Amino acid sequence: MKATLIGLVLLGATVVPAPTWRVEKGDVRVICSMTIGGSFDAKTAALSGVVTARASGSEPFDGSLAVDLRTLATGIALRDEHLRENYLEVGKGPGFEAATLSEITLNGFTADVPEGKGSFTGVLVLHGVSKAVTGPVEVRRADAGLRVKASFPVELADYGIRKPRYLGIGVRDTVQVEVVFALGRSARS
Amino acid sequence: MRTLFSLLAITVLATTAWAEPTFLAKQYTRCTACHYSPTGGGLLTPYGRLLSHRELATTGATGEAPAAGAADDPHGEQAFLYGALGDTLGPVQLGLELRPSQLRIGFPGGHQDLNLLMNLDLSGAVQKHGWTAYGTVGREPPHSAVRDGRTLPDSAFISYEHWISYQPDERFQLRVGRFLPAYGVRFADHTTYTRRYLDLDRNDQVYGLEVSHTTGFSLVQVMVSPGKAEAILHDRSRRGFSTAGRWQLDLSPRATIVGSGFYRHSTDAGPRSGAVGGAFGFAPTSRVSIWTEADADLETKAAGGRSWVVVNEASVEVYRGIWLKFSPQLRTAGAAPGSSQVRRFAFAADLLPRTHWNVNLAYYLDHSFNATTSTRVVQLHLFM
Repeated sequence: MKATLIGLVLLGATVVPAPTWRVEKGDVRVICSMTIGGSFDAKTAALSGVVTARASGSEPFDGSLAVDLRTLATGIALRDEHLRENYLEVGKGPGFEAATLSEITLNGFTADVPEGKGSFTGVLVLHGVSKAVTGPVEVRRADAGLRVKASFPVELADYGIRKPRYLGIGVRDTVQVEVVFALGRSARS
Repeated sequence: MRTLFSLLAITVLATTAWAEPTFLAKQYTRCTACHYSPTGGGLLTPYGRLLSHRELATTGATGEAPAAGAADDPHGEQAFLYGALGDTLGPVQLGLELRPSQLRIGFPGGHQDLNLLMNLDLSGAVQKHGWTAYGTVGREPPHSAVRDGRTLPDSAFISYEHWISYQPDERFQLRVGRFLPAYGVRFADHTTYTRRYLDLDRNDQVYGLEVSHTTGFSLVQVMVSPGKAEAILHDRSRRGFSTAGRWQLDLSPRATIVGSGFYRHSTDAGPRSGAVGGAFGFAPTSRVSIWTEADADLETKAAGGRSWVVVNEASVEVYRGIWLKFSPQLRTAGAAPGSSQVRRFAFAADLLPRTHWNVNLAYYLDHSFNATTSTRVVQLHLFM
């Protein structure tokens, strides 16, 4: 009897699926510091993706988050055009038209319901180049899901993006990415 | 009588430069995005010219732009004289400024109409290896130039600005020559109270040395000078050491705060004076900007006395190339006898139908000494 109970408990522990989270709403802000001082924001709400926590909290999440770079906007039409066509080169196809973050690992959280402040690492694919990124992340409960806020720097040269320079004005070599999004439990979980 | 109103008209209108803090709405917190001068105004850089063409003019939305990565392109709608000279000028950038104006000044019991050419200035700049040489030549309107305390009835030659600067890297800039000191917000209308009453008017430039230092979101500018340029050139009794400092902190691409201070040593003609103040600019959307500046005018001249100057300016782009502005302004009465509080309500519309064309319609309601005057302005500002 005792052995049967232990067996059921163990079985139960192994069949409970790891939680899967889907991006329900997101805002991406790319802070572009200018060579003359000051900055401008490039923004989009086109963030999507599904991630699944693994049983072990130290292992990366399955799945990825993606940003449609074709929707990045700065409020100045010509700047948008240059940003998308000449520097991000979104017209080159897959690997260029979106930026994806995968192999996400949270540090300082539990796997089931991560909450609090910590850091993350992940692999960012941008401009057809994959590179590891890391930065602070904050996770809070919100309604039935989670609200996540994360940021990380991107060195443009690391991704083969040429220096944005135009008529004497330019963007500095490093831009800062801030992402805020709401996660809801996916039907799969 | 006509002379009196000409003087009043010049006080209302003449300007040497057109700077636009309203562009905070477009995420531009620094003057140098569009102007050569670190303190704003004057000749537009190639980028500023292109912005005027592609993003501001009502008819410029589909205009062609230089290719990405270009350093300059002296052709096309945005270029000097609409590109008529092509590559002839090489690295030299030129701008021609004209401002024909029509005014109606109303006062208790009547009004006066005036037609004036307020500006006729040629400005030029060359930039190479971190060095910038900049200068303007033009005409000061009749009843405007002052020589040894005497106002000249005729127009006179003037170079409002001429300076050389060196920028060894993206952070530092040194400038020496004649320029308007960095202080507060450089509103486009030079008669704005924070400019008029703080000696930052159309020809209040100094001969001096200026250091600018920017670190991303912060900009610090410090100036030292032996005195106002016009005093050094034409009125010895008004020469006196002056220094000014300005610190700008960008809270976001659409919000910034500014702190400033100005000190002027005594001269043979007047005691020492100064001002300290702060400003806040905020653009809630890409079509709205709101600036507020408040300064303590520490002027100790008998005619003025210490006072406060407060200006608010709200600008709304109601349609591409059409900006509406509203600006309440106040200067409190000084401690000196005879000093009066002055108030202004300014309404303006800036229409930008074509690149470098600005049709300005303005209406000022000024109240002082228990009297109200109104000024209606229609002017075409061409910056070719």
